[in-house]
Amino acid sequence: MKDFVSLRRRVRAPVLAAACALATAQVLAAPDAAGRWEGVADLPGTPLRLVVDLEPGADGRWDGSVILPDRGVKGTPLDALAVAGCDVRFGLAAAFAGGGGAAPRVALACQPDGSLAGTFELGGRSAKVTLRRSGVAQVDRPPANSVVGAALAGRWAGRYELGGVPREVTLTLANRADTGGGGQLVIVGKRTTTLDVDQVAQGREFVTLRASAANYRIEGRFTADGAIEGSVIQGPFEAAIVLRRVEKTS
Amino acid sequence: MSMAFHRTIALALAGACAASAPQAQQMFRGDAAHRGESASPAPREFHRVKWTFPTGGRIVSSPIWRDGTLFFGSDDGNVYAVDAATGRQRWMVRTDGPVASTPALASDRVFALSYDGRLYALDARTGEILWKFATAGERRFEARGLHGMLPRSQTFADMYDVFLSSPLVVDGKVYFGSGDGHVYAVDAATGRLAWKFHTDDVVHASPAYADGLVVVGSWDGRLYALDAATGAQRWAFQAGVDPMMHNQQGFQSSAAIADGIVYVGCRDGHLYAIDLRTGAAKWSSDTAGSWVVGSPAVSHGKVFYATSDSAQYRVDDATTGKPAQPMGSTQAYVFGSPTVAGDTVLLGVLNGTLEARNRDDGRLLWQFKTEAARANRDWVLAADGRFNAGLLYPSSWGDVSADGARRQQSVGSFFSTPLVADGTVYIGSADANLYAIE
Repeated sequence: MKDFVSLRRRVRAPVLAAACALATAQVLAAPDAAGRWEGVADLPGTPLRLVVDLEPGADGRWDGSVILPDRGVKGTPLDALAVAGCDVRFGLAAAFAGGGGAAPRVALACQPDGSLAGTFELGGRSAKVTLRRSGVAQVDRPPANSVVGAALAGRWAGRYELGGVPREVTLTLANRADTGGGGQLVIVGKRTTTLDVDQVAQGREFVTLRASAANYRIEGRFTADGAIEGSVIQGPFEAAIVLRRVEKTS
Repeated sequence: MSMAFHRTIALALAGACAASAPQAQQMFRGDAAHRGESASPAPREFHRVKWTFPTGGRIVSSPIWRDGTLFFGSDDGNVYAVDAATGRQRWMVRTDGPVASTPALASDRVFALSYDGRLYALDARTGEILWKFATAGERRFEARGLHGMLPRSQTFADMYDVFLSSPLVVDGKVYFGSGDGHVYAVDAATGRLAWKFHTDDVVHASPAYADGLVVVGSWDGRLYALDAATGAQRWAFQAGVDPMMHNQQGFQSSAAIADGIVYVGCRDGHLYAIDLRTGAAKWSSDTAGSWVVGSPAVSHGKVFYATSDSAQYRVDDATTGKPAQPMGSTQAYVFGSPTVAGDTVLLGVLNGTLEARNRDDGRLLWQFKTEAARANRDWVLAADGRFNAGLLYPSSWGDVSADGARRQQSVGSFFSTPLVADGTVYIGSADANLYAIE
């Protein structure tokens, strides 16, 4: 019996190894732009490292994200991504969102050696960029919005103070037909501001609500007795808030 | 066959090829006593880089491991769970600051501290945020004229204060230090404060635990032993202070506890062995002013540690403090901590080299250098692997010094402490990659 198990192990290991190698080789040899691509844009003085993940969706539309190891960027979506064969074009606006400057554009084409090469354009300058395939794509996708559960659906009211100015908040949370949970924030301080809550992450006890256009979020623990205890965070500013449910919807 | 099918098959086979191991290393230095011993032996020869996992920033966090999943943080602000066999991401959770500490695992939860001043409790399987606990906020150690930087009247943040405290989990409580000067104990289930203890400066060392005591050092120059249940101080050990430059002062090193003795490095240029029960020093090793930033490993009756600018690899007898081996050289500063894995000691060096040494005589077995270290742009390194200090630090003016420290790390410095699981070595680098080496 021991010998049989040993033989089976001896046979299984090479078979699995061969199958692993075959499958990996076929993936890596794919003749299109799909995959993980790593390389540098030759910015004078300080080359910029890039890791680009490209993957076609079931509907034929391409999806992609970028890692910039020197810039604190991980899994940021590519914008205006266009792939034709292995001609690839995309922008990096989300990865260069800070500072209000211009956003880079990248244009790449297949090379005979299997690399993707082209240009990295930024602020009227152009640098050569070369990427080599390093594996299968690992596109980072933003998490889908949670469905707003019964514990949160409805209208909430609370108050916080920032810079000595009190602000009254009314939050309405509901489910939307196309995007899952969402809502509206009305903030009354020196003036009245209305924000669209476009991202909802509801866990078992913790919720994060984002109004991404204003870089504004409310997060905190929600309790069975109808309270959200947490923080309002907008850029570097933060304040404590407690929201209490004033109207429940199913 | 379709590409999707190929990928599915490749992933499935990669999973099938992966073996699991019984041991788990669920917090910084492996367990609550922080002895730095690995249940899995390290490879005696370098074979290959199995995979790299790129993040968006420097990795000073050390990976932890359970059931084939690695957990670690990055200065890009994310906490990651990565499949140890394939190097593929299972999940990532974004925080609002660099995650410059090592996470801890307890039951089904991951606890991680971020420079946003919050301790995060995450579901280990999905990354779902379960709760956050807010401290009064993080900051680096700072002082006027720090390290002799100019102008003397200027307060400088310490560019070498790179780590945050790594959480310790014992009996349902999470213990950690904070830049706000406190040591915290938080209920692991609810995130509610159990107690907090005030020190006089930044606490970025990681607490260790034994016999009902939490032991942790502060940048105020004292090592504290606190009652784990109440936070009451049992004793405090006063190490050296440096009121002029604040250079020879502070516990950045985390303690290791073995057989009733606390072993800890200090920036005052010593490694101390202190009685756990009384707080009295049993012996100390003088490193001639060179910091001991990394945390010592204790194994087989010996203490393994390394120094910063003097680049010494040292092994002392754990009972007497006498040298147990001839001193070795790492060529460049060491901030990471040694890991004893079988008969091998692994150690990351700031020159972008991971060293494997023979445990019993310190002989160098193999080295791995990052691509950035091999490229050595701007001649950060001399030919022998030492830093070109004269090139990096042309003057003592603060901004120039800070720039030198940043350039030093461009070779892919290893601040991270190596983890060994299933015979594979995992370590993060300042080049933003987590490496799997076998």
